[in-house]
Amino acid sequence: MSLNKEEQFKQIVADNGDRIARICRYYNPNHEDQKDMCQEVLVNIWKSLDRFRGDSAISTWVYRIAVNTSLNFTGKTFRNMKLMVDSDPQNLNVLLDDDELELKIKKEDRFEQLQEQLNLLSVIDKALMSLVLEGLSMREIADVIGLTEPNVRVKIHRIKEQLKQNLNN
Amino acid sequence: MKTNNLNQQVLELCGLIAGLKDEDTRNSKLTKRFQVIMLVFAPLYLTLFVVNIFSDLPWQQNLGMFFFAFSFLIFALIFRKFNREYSSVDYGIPTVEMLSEAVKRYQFWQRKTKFSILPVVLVDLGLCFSSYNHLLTFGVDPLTRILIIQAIYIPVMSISITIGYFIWRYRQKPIRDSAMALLKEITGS
Repeated sequence: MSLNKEEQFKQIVADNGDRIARICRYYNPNHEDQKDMCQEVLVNIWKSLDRFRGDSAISTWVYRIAVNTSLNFTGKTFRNMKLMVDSDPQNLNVLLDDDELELKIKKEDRFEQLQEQLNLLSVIDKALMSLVLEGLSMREIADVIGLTEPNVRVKIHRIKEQLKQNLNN
Repeated sequence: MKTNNLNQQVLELCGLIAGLKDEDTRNSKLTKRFQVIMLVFAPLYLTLFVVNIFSDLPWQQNLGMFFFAFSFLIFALIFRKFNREYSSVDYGIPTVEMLSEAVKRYQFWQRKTKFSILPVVLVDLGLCFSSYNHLLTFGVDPLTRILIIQAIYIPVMSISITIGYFIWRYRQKPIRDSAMALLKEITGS
């Protein structure tokens, strides 16, 4: 029984190591903090593994644990939680739904401004954007967060509009 | 590149599993120890109660033992339930659900807390009955004896509740407040 759990855990970590690492990077600019958070996520995967019944995809379950851990991990300083994004053009496009603005950002070297705007978002908005950056569908994001799909769609649309508006200003 | 390095570290952290197992074992041992203590005291007092039915011990003192035994048993069941709840937080559920559960878990007064009133009252009854004859030597009447016990027991319980409240306020209330704020932000209500 215990060996099965251990093997299952190792398999999940092997299959989802990249996901976990990326989520940890989104929330922590500091390398040490990233490692600490990864450790925390793994601890929570281990603790919750017995209750995983396969109702959702394993990747969705891992995202839930990562997002839920990030909310707890940041603890008292959660308001200062930072969302760190790559300057990868594909990433920026996902965030803004606007190729021209993306080019503009790249051309005008306003990436830092985008980063700054992202970090002005609320904790939950940051969590939502981290899932958008991960390329999750609205349905998957709704499953992770526990909201309805239309609700998630509206929230993400609003966040993107807010980001675009702030950047254009 | 950075991601790959970190991913490597994540995989290396599989070594952490030994530590996790230790933690699980420790938690399990602690819970077991507590249950053993309670389950030793409850039958012990119950046995003393049964044995002393046929002895010269005043019946009031003997009845006190029965109340103590009963309260230990109920306390054991209550703490078992609390312990199970605190040691089995599931992070694999949707965020909204997890936050709602955290809010409930970190309330000062929970629905199930009311069940602890019963053993507290039983301990009080146990004290009243078992101390009955001790106070008799001071030559006070039964009502005064009960009042003396209440004058000690009620402040002791009040101080315990106050200490519990401050511990909750300092350690758990901030968690509940944060969870409530996040929940409000997600659901928009």
